[in-house]
Amino acid sequence: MKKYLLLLFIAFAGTFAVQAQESDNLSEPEIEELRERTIQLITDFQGYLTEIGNKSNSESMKDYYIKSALHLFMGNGDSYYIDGRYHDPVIMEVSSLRNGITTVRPKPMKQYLQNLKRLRYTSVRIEKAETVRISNIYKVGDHYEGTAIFFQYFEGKQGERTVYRDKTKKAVKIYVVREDDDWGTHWNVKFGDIKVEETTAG
Amino acid sequence: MNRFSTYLLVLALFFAGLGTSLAQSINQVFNEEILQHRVEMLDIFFERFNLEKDIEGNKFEGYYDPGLHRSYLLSLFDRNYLLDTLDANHQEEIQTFVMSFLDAVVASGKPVTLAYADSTWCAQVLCRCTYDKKECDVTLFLKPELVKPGEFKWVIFDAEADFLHLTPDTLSVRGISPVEHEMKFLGLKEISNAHNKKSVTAYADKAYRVNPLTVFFTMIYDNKLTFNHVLNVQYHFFTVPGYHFTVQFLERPGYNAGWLITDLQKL
Repeated sequence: MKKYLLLLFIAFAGTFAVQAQESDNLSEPEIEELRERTIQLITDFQGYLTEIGNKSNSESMKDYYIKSALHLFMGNGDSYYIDGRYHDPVIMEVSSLRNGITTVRPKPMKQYLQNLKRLRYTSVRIEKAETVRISNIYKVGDHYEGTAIFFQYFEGKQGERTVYRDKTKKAVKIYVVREDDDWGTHWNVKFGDIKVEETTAG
Repeated sequence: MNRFSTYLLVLALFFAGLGTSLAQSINQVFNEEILQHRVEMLDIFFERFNLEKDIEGNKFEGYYDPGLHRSYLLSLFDRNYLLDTLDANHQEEIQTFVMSFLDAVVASGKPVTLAYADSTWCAQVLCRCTYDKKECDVTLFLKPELVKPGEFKWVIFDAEADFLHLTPDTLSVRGISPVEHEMKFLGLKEISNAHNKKSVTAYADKAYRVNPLTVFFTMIYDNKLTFNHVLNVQYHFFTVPGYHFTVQFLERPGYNAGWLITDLQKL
């Protein structure tokens, strides 16, 4: 039974909410609702990251959370098409500035999550600031796109000792796509690439 | 107290109310007030420049207040641009200049506003690429373009890098012999030989100017140039009549951070 509930959960994680109107255009209340939903999905994503990095979770549980996290993204972490155009699998691009030199390390999301799973911390603490910024939502062909920015604190511990911590700003691309399924036509929020920068904010 | 100082004072008062909450949140990981003040998105820069939304993102309603608008505009300037502590005369000059800019924006009750759809702004993007197996930097210039009503896309309208100019590596190439017409231009084969190909533009007429964007597209098309990542982005605005200002992202602690005006020029 538990297994079926899990499957059901995976099936609906990330699907949404706003039942599509006859029109292809989103109304202002719909856009507001999608903004709220985006914030919720960002919180879900944070939760998955914490569980993936939590050493006390079993391997299969971590894999389950990886699958759930990937379900939030376009193509579930694989390559995808939108508006008839091919896109590489979503990436997590981490950039850091040291002595005036910017280093950029792009990683496919699947690989990023697998790496997180293998980190040798006994526990990780991930906190998100309440402040989340969401850009205007732009119409692009048959769907909409926007950007959300959120701030994250990461702390990795070995025993009681904090061995790593950082504050990052994550900018995530948002796709609002229309989907048809057994539940009718609805707008669904999916994440695209994420750009990560270390920040001195707040 | 000059007008500039007055608006700076308003700005200071504006931030003063945040002290208490700053103290309250000292034990938290993030200070939410600081995060809200930072201009993290260009959309937020637009909203504050146009006095559409306040710091917390609430829409301004009621009467238009030019004084408040000036304070908001001032909050969008990089403090290092406004407060040149090394040279007092220069600082005063800058402040007078900035005040004239604020006057131009808040013009006689009909303020100048920024809009995404305008053709009066563009992005300058410094990109790290690989050309001929070596890393190189290319600057691209982009602007929003209307696709159809309500829909836009960013388009590249210019590119800049030394190697995109195809500057001849030697001026010794004389060109095509004046008798080649009698040879049905057999000598044209010379232009692509190992000695001459780097000077291929020397074979063009005097008026010819290489279009670096065409070269950029051609190199991408032929797999000679690959895009790696973006190093830096800045925006140029020509929306306020008589002025050009540059907006860059400044990552630093405190309230005066994010997308800010780092340079202002009179046109």
